[in-house]
Parts: sequence; structure tokens; C-alpha cells
Amino acid sequence: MNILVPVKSVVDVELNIRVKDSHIVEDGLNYILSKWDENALEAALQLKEAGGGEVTAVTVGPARSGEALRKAMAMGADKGIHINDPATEGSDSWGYARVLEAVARKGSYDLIITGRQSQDTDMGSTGAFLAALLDLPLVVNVIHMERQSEAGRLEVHRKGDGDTEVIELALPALITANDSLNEPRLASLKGIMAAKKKPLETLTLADLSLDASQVGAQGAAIEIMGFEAPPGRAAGKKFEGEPEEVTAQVVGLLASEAKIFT
Amino acid sequence: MQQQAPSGYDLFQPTEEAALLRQTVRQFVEREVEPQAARHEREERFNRELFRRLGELGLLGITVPEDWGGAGMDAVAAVIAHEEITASDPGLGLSYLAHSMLFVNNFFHNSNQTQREKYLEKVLSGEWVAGMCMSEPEGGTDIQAMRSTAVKSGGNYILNGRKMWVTNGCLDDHNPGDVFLVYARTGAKISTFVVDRTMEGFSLGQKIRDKAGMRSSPTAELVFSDCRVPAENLLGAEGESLIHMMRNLELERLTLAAMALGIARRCLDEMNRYAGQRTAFGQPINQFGQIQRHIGESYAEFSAGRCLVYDVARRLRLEQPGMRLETDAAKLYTATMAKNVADRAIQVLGGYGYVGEYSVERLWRAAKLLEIGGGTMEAHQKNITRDLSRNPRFFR
Ligand SMILES: Cc1cc2nc3c(=O)[nH]c(=O)nc-3n(C[C@H](O)[C@H](O)[C@H](O)COP(=O)(O)OP(=O)(O)OC[C@H]3O[C@@H](n4cnc5c(N)ncnc54)[C@H](O)[C@@H]3O)c2cc1C
Repeated sequence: MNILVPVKSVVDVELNIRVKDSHIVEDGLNYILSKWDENALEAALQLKEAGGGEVTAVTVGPARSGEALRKAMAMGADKGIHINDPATEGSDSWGYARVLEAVARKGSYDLIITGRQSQDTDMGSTGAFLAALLDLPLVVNVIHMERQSEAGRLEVHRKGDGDTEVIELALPALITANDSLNEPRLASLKGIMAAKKKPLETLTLADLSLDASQVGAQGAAIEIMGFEAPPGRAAGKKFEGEPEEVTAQVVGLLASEAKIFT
Repeated sequence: MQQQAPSGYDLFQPTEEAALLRQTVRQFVEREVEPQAARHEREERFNRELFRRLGELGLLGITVPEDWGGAGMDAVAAVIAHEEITASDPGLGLSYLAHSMLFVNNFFHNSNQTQREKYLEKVLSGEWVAGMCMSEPEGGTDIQAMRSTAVKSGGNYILNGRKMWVTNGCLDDHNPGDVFLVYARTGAKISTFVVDRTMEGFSLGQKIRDKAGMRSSPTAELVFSDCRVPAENLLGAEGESLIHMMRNLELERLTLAAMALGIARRCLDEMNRYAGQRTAFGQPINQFGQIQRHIGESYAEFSAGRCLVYDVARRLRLEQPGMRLETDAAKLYTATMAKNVADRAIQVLGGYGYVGEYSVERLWRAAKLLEIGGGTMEAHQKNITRDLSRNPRFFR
């Protein structure tokens, strides 16, 4: 099975992110592979290990995004495609999906797996847009994959509201990975060294016959007006006294302030 | 690979592989090392399964070329791995060092094809746990006073003696480790032998208990009593040990210094976080000048040590010695630095710093070992002075 896994390099949210003049301060930030993309990649690698084929990781972004791609290859992706074109800067999900569509059309893939959302914007729409553009069947939020499905089909479970839906897909198709789908493997040291020797193709929009006006801020359907740092957490309340009194106070406040009983 | 602009040079992650390695080891440590660290230390127990995981990830052969099944990485990579593991579990870091640096790296550079085929796979996978036996009950620093002997007899060497303080010398109370580099006297000179647990006359003397720290790393006394070592297990030629030691010592000291960095970084992290959260007299304790002194000095000393270690690592070539002065200095400085930073961390945490839950007392106990093991501070001071006296124009 040939599988395409779009991966995104995102800001490491473990570090302090500062906002200044409605923009994220890029200085001193650390970039990592978005965590749901690691689940997507792990799923692809497991399918490949069970049934053969090839896993291609693709990323859209500036030079530093190459590191996310290298990590994907260190984990086991066979090759990487890096769309590095300044015109893609400022893209929204729609813009990224258009670039990825062009990449997908250049190759021949039985399955595309994306993360259910990226760790930075939490939008969760790139995968769905991409499926729409490619006219592929789509299942989002996959939590389990059956590996014994017959050729050309794939059985997946997705988390719906309270229930688990079991869906059989005809390939080619696109699925998005929930983080409970698997435990992503660590890149081994051999994998890290091997990644240096794996093919990494760098493309521009022109190579994909795309026009700068279709992507980036120009082609965006939404405009981000600004960023705000989340408000600081309000101080907690401390209750003192006899257990009966304290319990009554807490229950009272849970009802009147937290409104958890309504 | 993206070419970094010179101004973008990152001393601590000079290449993309180095950055990926740090990320990977850190992820591994968070998931698998940290959750078991305090328990194994408390129970004075070596985590055999976790050690195999180091093998699966390729960490045990970090400096062995890829052609021989290793990762083919450099001294900077070895420093990164030791720093990251030790920041969580110094005992595991020490056992990792004894296996991959004291045994594997030394063995690889001084062994022949047959010896590599016999042992390398087992130690790179972690199926076998390895170590190095230099120190003896009667002497550590004074290598020339070594008493263990090896006498050639037919196709064997007959090895007699006792080795003390052997990291990975045992796996538990009863079983010795699997394979060791053993230094012993062949006449006037010292030779290096590969001794494995299948050899007659090799046994566990005792597991050394009640160490101040590093308790998740097993330490043992090993006994060689008419131990028959096949002549093919002589490493290099007779009397070559000093050359083997010279080749390996620089990387050993450097990675011990990397362990010190791990300890200091973790302690700094713990005291910084705590001092921002803990309040006294109506304000966070990091508002007090005396606490600021603990944190400020710790950060400055840690940063200086980190630059020193990574700069030496960057210049160290695995195949050729020539950095004795620098590696002695790196270990001498960082060992005491780590001990002082750990001490300040306990001070900043007050009573909480003195109990196990907050980790810093465990790191403090571990830090002291770095002033003794792999060369005492006094030995480093002696070496540095000797090297400088021979080369008064040490500065470039
Ligand atoms: C936890 C642990 C793990 C260890 N792991 C290993 C291992 O895997 N393999 C191994 O071979 N060894 C190992 N060691 C041994 C360690 O390397 C020695 O303890 C160390 O080299 C010091 O030797 P010693 O203990 O015999 O002390 P000594 O050499 O007897 O030193 C005692 C004191 O005298 C000082 N001294 C000695 N000579 C001089 C001099 N010329 N000038 C000034 N001062 C001097 C020393 O600095 C020290 O302060 C380990 C030790 C420990 C505690």
C-alpha cells in the first residue's frame, strides 16, 4: 500500500509562547513534529510493515520544517517531499489542502493519513478539505484500524459522540488519526542516521503548477486578526473549618458560582 | 540536510541528527526512564529490561560505525545521550556509560575482526551487559600498583586477581554481568583481556551495597581465580593496555562530564520551578535575594560547564587521542559544579528538597560520585598540571 502522510512542523507548546502586538514572538521558539501527525505516521508504518508498500511524508513550510520531515523519515517514512515556497506562508487550512492536493495528484497513493488536527492551530480541517479536493472517502478521528481487511478495503473505527463507529472504506481514501490510535514509536539512532540518506525532494509551487494567488495569505478564506495570550488562572479558594461547614460551603458555591448542577 | 548559516551554529545541537537525537532520547526518558527512576534507586535494583530498550533504540552502540551495527555517531552525540538520560536517572546513566563507553567503545577500537564477530552483536543489542575492570581493592588511582596477573599457558591466559567497584559487575545479588574488559599484569606491563561469564574461574565476589547514590547502577567486586581466558581474547598485543586506556579515557571523561551536566540541568529546573511557586512571607521565594543567588550562580556555572563540555566534544575525534587536557578540565569542573548546583537545589526546596519525592537529593547523592569515579578530582588536577607544565603555551 502506498501511503501519503502530510506532517506539520509546529511550535513546541511546552515552551513559553509570547504574544506581542497580536503576533506570536518567533524568537527562541522550538519547532517539533505535530503530535497527531506522529500517530498518523505510526499508523502508516504499521500498515506498511503488515502489507508492504511505501510511506511518503510531505510537509509545507519554510526551511526549518525540513526537520519535521527528517524526523518522520527517522521514524521510518521511506521518503520525504518538502514544499518550500515563501508564497505558502500565511496559508490557512484551505491553502495547505490545495498544495497537498497537488502533491497527492503527482503520485499514486492508496491511502492518505493526516492527524485529526495540528497542534498549533487546532483547526482540524486540512484533512477534510484535502479529501474533498481529491474527492476521496473520508473518516475523521480514527481510533482503531483493522489490519486484516481485504485488498482495496480498510476497516476503521472512529470515535463519534459516545459511540464507536465501525466503517469499511474502499481505497483510495483519507483518514485522520486520533491520538489514541496508537503509541508512536521513537526514532532509533539507526533511523536517525538512515534518514540522512533517504530521498528528500524539495519542490516549489511552480513544480506543482500552482499559482501563488491560490495559497498563502492571498488565497486564504479566513484571516487571522490576531493572537492573545490566554488570561492567567484566577487564584484558587481555600476552605477552612469543620468538615460539615466546609462541605456545605463548597456545595453552595458549586451550585451558585460554578453552576455545575444546572 | 539544511545548511546552517555560521551565525546559526548551535553548540549543543550542531547538526540535524544531534537535534533529532536529543528529541528522541528526551522522549524516551519521559516515557520510560523517569517513571521508574526513583523506585529502582530506592530498591537498589538494576532495571535489566530498560537496559535492553537502550539496545533496541541503538544507544548502546552509539559510537560504533554503522558497518558494525552501531549508530556511527560522534562524541557530541555521546554527550547528548548521557546528559539526557542522567537528568532523570543518574544510575542508569552510569550503567549506560560503563557499557557503551568503558566497554563497547574501547573494545571496538582495539579489537580484531574475530573478537568483534564474537561479542559485538550481543553487547549492542543489550542481550549482554558489559563493563570494565581496572580498579582493585588495594588501588584505583595508582594503576601501576595493579596486582591482577595473567600468565600464558598453552592456548590460554590464567588470570588471577580481584577487581573492585565494577559498574555492571552484577545484574542482581547472585549473577555477575556478562562480559568485561579486564586489565591485568603480564610481566612488567599491563594487558587487556575480554572475559565473559562462561569462562571458568570467573565469579561474582560481592554486590557492593549501600552506595551513597547511583543505586540503580549495580556495582560489584569480581573475582578471577585461575580463570582460563582463551589467548584469542587478548585485546591487541601484550602490554598494550596503556594505549587502549589513552584512546578511550578522553571519551570516558567527557561523557562523565555530560552526566554532570544532566544532573545540574535537572536540579536547576527543579529549583527554578519550585522557587516560582513556593511562597513565604507573602511572596514567591524567588523574590528573595538569597534564593536568587542560588539560582543565578547555578545557571551561570551550569552554562559555563555546558559550553566547555560541548566545545570539547565538538573537537574530540573518536579515533585519535589529543584532548587529554581538555577532557580532564571538563570533568574536573563539571563534577563539582553539579554537586554544588544539586546542593543549592536542596537548599531552595528546603525540607522538601531533603526527601526523595522531589528528586534533588537523589541527584545530589549521585553528583558526588563524579568527583571520584573515572578519575578523582585530585587525579585530574595532577594530569592538568603535568600537561600544562609540558606545554606552557596551552592557549591558542
Ligand atoms: C560507584 C562507582 C563505580 C565505579 N565504577 C568503576 C568501574 O566500572 N571500573 C573501574 O575500574 N573502577 C570503577 N570505580 C572505581 C573508581 O574509578 C575509583 O574509586 C577511583 O579511581 C579512585 O580509586 P580508589 O577508590 O582506589 O581511591 P584511591 O586511589 O586510593 O584514592 C584515595 C584518595 O587519594 C587520592 N590520591 C591518590 N593518588 C593521589 C596522588 N598521586 N595525588 C593526590 N591524591 C591522590 C585520591 O584522589 C583520593 O582522594 C567506581 C567507583 C565507584 C564508587
